Amino acid sequence: VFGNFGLFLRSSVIGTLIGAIPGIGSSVAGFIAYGHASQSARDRSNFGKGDIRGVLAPEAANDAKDGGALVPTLALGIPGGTGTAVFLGALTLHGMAPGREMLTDNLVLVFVLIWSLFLSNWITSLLGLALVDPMARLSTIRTVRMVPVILVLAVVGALQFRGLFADVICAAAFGVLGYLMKRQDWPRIPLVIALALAPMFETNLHLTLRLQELGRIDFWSRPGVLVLAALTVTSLLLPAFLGRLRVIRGRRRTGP
Amino acid sequence: VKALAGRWLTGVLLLVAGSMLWSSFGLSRVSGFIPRAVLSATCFVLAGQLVHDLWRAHSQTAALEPERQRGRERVAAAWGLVLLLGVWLFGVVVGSMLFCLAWMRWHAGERWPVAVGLSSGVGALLWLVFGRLPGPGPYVGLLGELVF
Repeated sequence: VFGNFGLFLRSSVIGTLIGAIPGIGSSVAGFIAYGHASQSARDRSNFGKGDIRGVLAPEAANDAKDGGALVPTLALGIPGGTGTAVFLGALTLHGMAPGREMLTDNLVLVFVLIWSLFLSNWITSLLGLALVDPMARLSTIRTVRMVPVILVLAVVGALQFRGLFADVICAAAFGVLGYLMKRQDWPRIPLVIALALAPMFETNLHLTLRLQELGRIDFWSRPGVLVLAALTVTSLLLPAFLGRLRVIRGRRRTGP
Repeated sequence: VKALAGRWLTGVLLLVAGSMLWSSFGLSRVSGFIPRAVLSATCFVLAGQLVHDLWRAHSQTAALEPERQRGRERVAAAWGLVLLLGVWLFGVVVGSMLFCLAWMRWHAGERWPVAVGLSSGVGALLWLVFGRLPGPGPYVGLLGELVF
């Protein structure tokens, strides 16, 4: 962590911001932080082969997203993910309504939540340090003994969602697709992010376009839309631009 | 030709994106603006990737996958089917136990006590998760549905 403190801080900010967006979930925060780590690294050759930055960034984002997810949950009553949805249900059961009252009348409770989260992260870190040796021994188990257990857990994970065997078939089909993509050097993480975000994106896109068509809104006149569009285009073009810049600098260093 | 056939995924994705672009022309000017803009850019990038793939396939003559690798893939696919078939027929607990036993004994070449121990452990874990915790029971499979 201390060796990659900048990356740790940036990934934590990513996690907090993603966590504050309702309905996105921890996996997206992790994948975006991983993408940021691999894009911002000078030497990317070890990503996917055990580079510690590829573990550090998603884990920092994953831990940070819980704090961010509390913002819409407590302030607006919109849960950021499954955990906060359960938490929101518990609040309602105890007769507490999220919203403005939560941040004025029940401010003490909000601070209790923040401190609980802070302490739980410390306790998890201490437990992690204490158990790192026995956990590391798991890697000495022969792969051939691990495979059936992992496969069975994958099947159970797919079945637990709705109890339908069709979900297992779907998971297996995506497993095959992932393997084919890996074999053909296609990145899998953008597909996962797209699958997670697509329902929300498409719903809101169609709603916005319909409202635009009916003349209710004019999204090109809104500064927020323009800033987001500019950020999207920049994030698409920046890696290619930086890569080209590195090549040119490398050529200049090596000389003609 | 074999090297070229190995790069088919780009072509498939280009076909999918192209057909989506084609159908987006049925939308109105405003509704179709963003889909057309995004899909045009996607098709452009995919076409570039396909040209790159074709160039690589043309320059790659010896990079054909070895027979051993393909054999391993076939074996892995067969074991995956065994697991799916086992769960579909016998349910998640029994099917998983049978799969673990078969894998450990005939694929990993482990001794019977190790194979039975691991499959029993997996079965016990699944039974604890599905049987003891609140929530829906385990998936019982086709034969389980016929029996119960």
